[in-house]
Amino acid sequence: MMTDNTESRPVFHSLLELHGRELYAYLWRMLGHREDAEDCLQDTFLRAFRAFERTNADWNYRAWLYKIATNVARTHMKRGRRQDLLLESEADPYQVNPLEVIAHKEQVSKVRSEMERLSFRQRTAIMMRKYSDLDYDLIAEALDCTPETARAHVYQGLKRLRKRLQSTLVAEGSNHA
Amino acid sequence: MRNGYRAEKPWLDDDERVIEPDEFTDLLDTVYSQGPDGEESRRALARVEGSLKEYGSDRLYYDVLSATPFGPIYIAMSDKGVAALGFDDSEQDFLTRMGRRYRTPVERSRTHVAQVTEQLKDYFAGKRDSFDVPLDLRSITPFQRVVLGAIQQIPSGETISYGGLARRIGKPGAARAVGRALGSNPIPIIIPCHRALAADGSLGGYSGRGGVRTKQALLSLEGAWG
Repeated sequence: MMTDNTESRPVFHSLLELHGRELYAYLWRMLGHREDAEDCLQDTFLRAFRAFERTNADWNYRAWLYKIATNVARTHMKRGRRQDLLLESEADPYQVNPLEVIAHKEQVSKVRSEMERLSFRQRTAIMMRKYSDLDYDLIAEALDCTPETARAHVYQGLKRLRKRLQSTLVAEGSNHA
Repeated sequence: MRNGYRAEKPWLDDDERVIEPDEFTDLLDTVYSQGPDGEESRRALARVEGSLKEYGSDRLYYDVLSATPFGPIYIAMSDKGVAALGFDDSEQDFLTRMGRRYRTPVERSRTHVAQVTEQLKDYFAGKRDSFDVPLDLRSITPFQRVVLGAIQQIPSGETISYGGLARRIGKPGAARAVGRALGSNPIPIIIPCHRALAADGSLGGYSGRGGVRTKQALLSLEGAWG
C-alpha cells in the first residue's frame, strides 16, 4: 500500500506537531481570548496548508508560520474582537486576599492595555522575542524587516512600555510597603 | 493549571546580555509568561487537525505526465486516492471535466501526485506491471464498482472477454452492461479495463485517446498481444 497519498502531508503535519503549540500560545497572548486564539490558529494552518506547495525546503518554516499567524491576528483584531477574557482568568491562587485579587486584575488589565497601545510591530516583536524565544533573524523574517529593525522594535517597545507602566510600578511598590 | 512563570528565561538587553529582573520585567512576566494550559492547547490542535482533514478531502490535486507513448496523461488525486486519469485533449478540458464531475477545487500539485506519476513512468518503461496506489471511486455507480473491481483481478499479461467478466460477477447476460461500465472507467490504465476483449478475441473498444490502438499498445506492453 502507498502509505501516504500526499507527499507533502507528512512534512506539513510535522509543522503542526512541531510548532502548533507555540503558535497557539503566541496567539493566545496576542489576542487575550481563547476562542479567538483557536480561530486564528486554525486560520493560520489552513493558510499555511494552501501556501505550502509554494514554499521551498530551505525556508525557515517556524518564521514563516509566525508570519502567517501575525497577519491572521492583525486581520482578526481589525475585524473587532471579543472581550479580553484573560482578564477573567484565575488570579494567583496564593493571593487569597480579595483586595489583592482585584489589584492583580487591575494590574494585568493595565499591562495589557498599555501593550496594545504600542505599534503592532513593536508588540509582536516583543512577544516573539521575550515569550516565544525567537531570535532577531527569525523575527525579521516573520515581520519582513531587517534583524536590526526587529531589534529596534523590541527595544523601543519595551522602553515605551516601561515608561508608561511607571505609575503602576510605583503603585505596586507602595502596596508592599 | 496555568504554566508557572518562566523564571528560568532570563531577560536580555538590546545586545543580548542578561539583565537583572526588575519590577517592570516581573510585571510583564506576570501577565505574559503564562500560556494556555495543556488541555486547551490539545483542543486547539485537534481542531486544526480536523479542519485540515476536512479541507484536504474536499480538494483535488492534479498533474500532467507528458512523456508517455500516448501523449499527455492527466492525473487527479484526492485525499483518498487517485480519482481520475484522463486522456483529455487539453489541460483546460481536463479541469473543466473534473470541476463538473467532482464539484470541488482542483489545484495543480506535482508533489501530491508524484507517487502516481512515478508508478506510471515505471509502467510505461516496463518496470512495473501493477499499481500500488489507493483509489478514490466516489464518482461511480455500485455496478461499475463491481465491474471495475473484477477487472482489477485480471493480472498483467492476461485478458478476459466481456462475457467472461459478466459471468465472474454473477451476471452472465450482462456483457454489454459490463462493456459500458468499463468504457466509463474513470481511472484507465491503473484500473486495467484494456484487459477486457470481445468474445471473438478481437480488441473490442477503448474510450481512451487513440482508441483501440492505445488498447493494443497497452496489451503489447504487458505481453498480452502480438
